[in-house]
Amino acid sequence: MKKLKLLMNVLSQLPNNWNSITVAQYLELKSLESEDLVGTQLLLEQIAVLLNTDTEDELIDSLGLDELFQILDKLAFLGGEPPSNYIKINTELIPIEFNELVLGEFIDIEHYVMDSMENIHIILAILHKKQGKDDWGNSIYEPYNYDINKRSEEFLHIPVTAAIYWIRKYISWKNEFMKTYQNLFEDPDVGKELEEEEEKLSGYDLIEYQKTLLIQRQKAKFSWENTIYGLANGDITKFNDIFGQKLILVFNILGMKNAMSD
Amino acid sequence: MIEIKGVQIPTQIEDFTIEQFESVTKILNDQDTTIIERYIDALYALKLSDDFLNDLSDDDLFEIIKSFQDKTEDFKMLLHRTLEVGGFIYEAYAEGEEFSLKAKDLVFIEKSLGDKNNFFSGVLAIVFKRSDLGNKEHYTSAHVKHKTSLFKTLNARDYYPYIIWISQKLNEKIKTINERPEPTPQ
Repeated sequence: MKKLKLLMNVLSQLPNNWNSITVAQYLELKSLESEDLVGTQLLLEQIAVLLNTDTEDELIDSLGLDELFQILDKLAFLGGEPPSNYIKINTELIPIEFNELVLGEFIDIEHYVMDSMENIHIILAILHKKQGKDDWGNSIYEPYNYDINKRSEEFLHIPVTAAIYWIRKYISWKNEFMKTYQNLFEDPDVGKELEEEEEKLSGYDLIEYQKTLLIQRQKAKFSWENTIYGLANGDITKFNDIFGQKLILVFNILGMKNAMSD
Repeated sequence: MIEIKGVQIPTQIEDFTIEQFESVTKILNDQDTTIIERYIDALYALKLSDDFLNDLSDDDLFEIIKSFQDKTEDFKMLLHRTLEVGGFIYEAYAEGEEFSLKAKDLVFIEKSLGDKNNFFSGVLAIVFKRSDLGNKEHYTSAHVKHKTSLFKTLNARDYYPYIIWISQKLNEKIKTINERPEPTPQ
């Protein structure tokens, strides 16, 4: 009877699906993957995360094998990836229109999106803003000068599925956006085809080839810095102004400069 | 047990200490050596004298191998509730209760089962708890290591039912998990 009560207690506290798992819990679950935990030890750690406790908790300590397997059954969904699910997540912070992004926000998101699931809360902090009215009564977003790490804490307690909805929506928008401006950017694999030619070259040709390759790689490595440097005509005091410009405007200008230089 | 040239050679589980059983099992499962090599290595591991092993004929060796391979009679699944080693009593379960495992035990048992040198003694070190110690001490690494070493002197046959019980329980649960229907998409 005591055991059954314990099991019912644990089962009732555990989530039934990804919708009941917060971003904070998801991040903790992800961090367990890097700790080389396996089997029962991993499962107990997962249970502890989902019960917001640790494995030394009496509740977890007293779990029997039969209870453990019932819990394992209930948590089978953890074996898959969380789905995306639209849920309105905050009354004060408004999801911004992606076309309203400024260059600085876009650069930051592109940085964090490289490990999107680890940075899911930070990306959301950039994509959600306070909204106000200007002197003329028009709706405006707050400027991008708030602390994104502090803001990201507000997104730790929302369902991870809702967070994924916004990440996927952003990525899908970004892919379309980049298609429009694809001719502006260097191919990240720049020089690859040249590399294959290297073995055929010798003497002066080889030196010239290596110089070209180095320049192309440096450009690719510092592509954002290079782009902004060009837009500011080398004046670093103007960098912040450029970061604050609407992304679409910046890309249109870059497109224009590109077309004029051809 | 088989007797060759006046020497008693343990070949069945009831003849082995847990240490010998772990050692022989490890050697006989070594896929990198031939079957004959494995049995010769096992005989060395059983610490038979060099003189005896050097004089062993092919026929004697095949008799020993045959004895190793003789099927042991079916086990009576007697799970000894307590054992005594070094003046201390160790308990696997309380009087009047049935043996069961905690989830926490399984964490340690999984580790032991993966350790070819301690797969038996390491499991028993988790199953049997010293009755005068608390829960915290029971799981400390030094204490588990100490018990693992102590239990190696026990007879393998007496405690093998625990290994069977745990394997059956895990297999049964894994089977249930594998047979359950796929979760419906959310």
